[in-house]
Amino acid sequence: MKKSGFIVALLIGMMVCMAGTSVAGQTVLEEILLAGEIKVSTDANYAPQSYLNDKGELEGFDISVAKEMAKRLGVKIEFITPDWDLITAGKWGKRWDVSIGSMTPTAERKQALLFTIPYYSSPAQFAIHKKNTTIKTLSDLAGKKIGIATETTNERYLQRDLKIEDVKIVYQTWKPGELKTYPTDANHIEDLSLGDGARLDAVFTSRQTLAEAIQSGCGSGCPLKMLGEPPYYEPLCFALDKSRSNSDTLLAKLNDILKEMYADGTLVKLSMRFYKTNLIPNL
Amino acid sequence: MNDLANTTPDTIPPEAKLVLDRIDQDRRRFKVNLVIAFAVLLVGLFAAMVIIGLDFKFMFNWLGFIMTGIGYTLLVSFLAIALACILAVIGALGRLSSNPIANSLATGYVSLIRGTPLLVQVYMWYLALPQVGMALEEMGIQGVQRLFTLPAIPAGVLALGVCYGAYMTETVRAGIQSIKIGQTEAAKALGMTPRQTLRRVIFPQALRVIIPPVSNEFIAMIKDSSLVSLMGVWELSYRAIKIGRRYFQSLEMLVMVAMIYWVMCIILQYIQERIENHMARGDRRVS
Repeated sequence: MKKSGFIVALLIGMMVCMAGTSVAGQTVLEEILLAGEIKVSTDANYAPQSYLNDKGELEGFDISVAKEMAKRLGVKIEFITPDWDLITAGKWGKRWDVSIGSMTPTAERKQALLFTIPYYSSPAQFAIHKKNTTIKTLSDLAGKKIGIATETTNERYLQRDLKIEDVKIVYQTWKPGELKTYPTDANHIEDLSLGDGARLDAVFTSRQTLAEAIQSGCGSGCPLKMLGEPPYYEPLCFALDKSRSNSDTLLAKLNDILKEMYADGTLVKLSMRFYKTNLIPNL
Repeated sequence: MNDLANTTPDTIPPEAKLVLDRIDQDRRRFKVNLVIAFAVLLVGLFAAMVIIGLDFKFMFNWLGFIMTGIGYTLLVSFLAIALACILAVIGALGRLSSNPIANSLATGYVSLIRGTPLLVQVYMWYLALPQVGMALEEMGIQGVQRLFTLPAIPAGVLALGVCYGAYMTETVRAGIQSIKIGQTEAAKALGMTPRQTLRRVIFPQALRVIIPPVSNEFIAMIKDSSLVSLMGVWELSYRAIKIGRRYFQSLEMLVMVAMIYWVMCIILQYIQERIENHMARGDRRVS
């Protein structure tokens, strides 16, 4: 009994100490500026958006955009790399301040997250195995096994349940045979690379990811080829935690910084560097 | 018999010596055969890797980067096993307690934790605790949210430690109960209080029974620590998975990280044997 009393006293003591350090009524932007550091979450599963380079450091379009954003905000940057599902779920509890991970502002995500203006847009793209000769157009995919990553817009699109603000979505007229869902895009690309029809007939992801895989994945380029035109382009934004109060000023500030980066050509330059093509829409 | 023979070699009759020599020879032959068998197994394993066409150069290039994750793997595992040991002792005393509150708490803890998957628990610690903090803060206790919003490593240590603590509670309880009632009675007869009995008579003896299964749990934990990679701790499996996905060569990286875990476990198994022999030295013959 004596011991447990001690532990309770210790806990209360800790709480009192912690309470002393927090200041009520501060906005998130003020908190970040005061700390001199912004915590950015990114999912290092996606080359060339966010990946580990030859030295094992984070690199990519998202990483460069994030660093540029922190520079313009005048604070240091720390990257946190949780699982993608943990990021999209919201309620981050101050573990990180902003997600810079090529996230599409879908209607569901908007219930948990706040989004900035888009910082680029990404074409969705189907691909098949290089050796396949029977699938020539998108409608040939009817009844085929298609690989997609879980909790992505690609999955929603094929389930005919994709809602993005200001983007008109036109669904395909054909129906896929089976949708196989994977934790991340790299998984289905590797599965399709095993052979035509071995586990999958086609995959559906972003064009950048496919281009990277075909160019330098699987040792000497994954044996895939792109199929048809992009069914839709998705805007991609920074995201903030909706459950964290006083986030409005940070959101406004980030939008201002993005507008600056549009105006002075920084985003276009980074897009050319990492994607070899201009994915920046006209504002 | 063997000891006796070694100390006084002159007195062995020739027939007995023949038999002893043959036993020795058989034992030596077994050892040599065992080494050969293991070597063949290893070569076979390596051959299998060559046949499925693994990119060894790619694996070798990233070996150093993946290996640096061992630090986090060991850190998380050691902290978690320490927490688990403490929880296990408290839990076992609770399970054996005649106090209904302590007993029900301990039994409930073991039942709940053993009855839910570790993966789910890892997510719960990471996702649910900030919610608790937020709720408490709204009730007027300032600053608790920050206290409850654990970074990835402490959350991982808590998840693993609490989970393994539940399993080890049962191990410790069984260890304590394995000590014969006569020991308790004898201690009582000597005038020891229940607390003294536990500390001086029961625990030292129970420890010997408990050590092997606890080391076993630790080896299991080294591998389960890969679950904290979900929360973004850059330990062994996180690094391997990310690099694999980056270059679309997951198989190579997974094979490599599996090998690293295996080697770590072989080393730990060796240490376990040493500790076990040390603990048992008064009780059985150590060769």
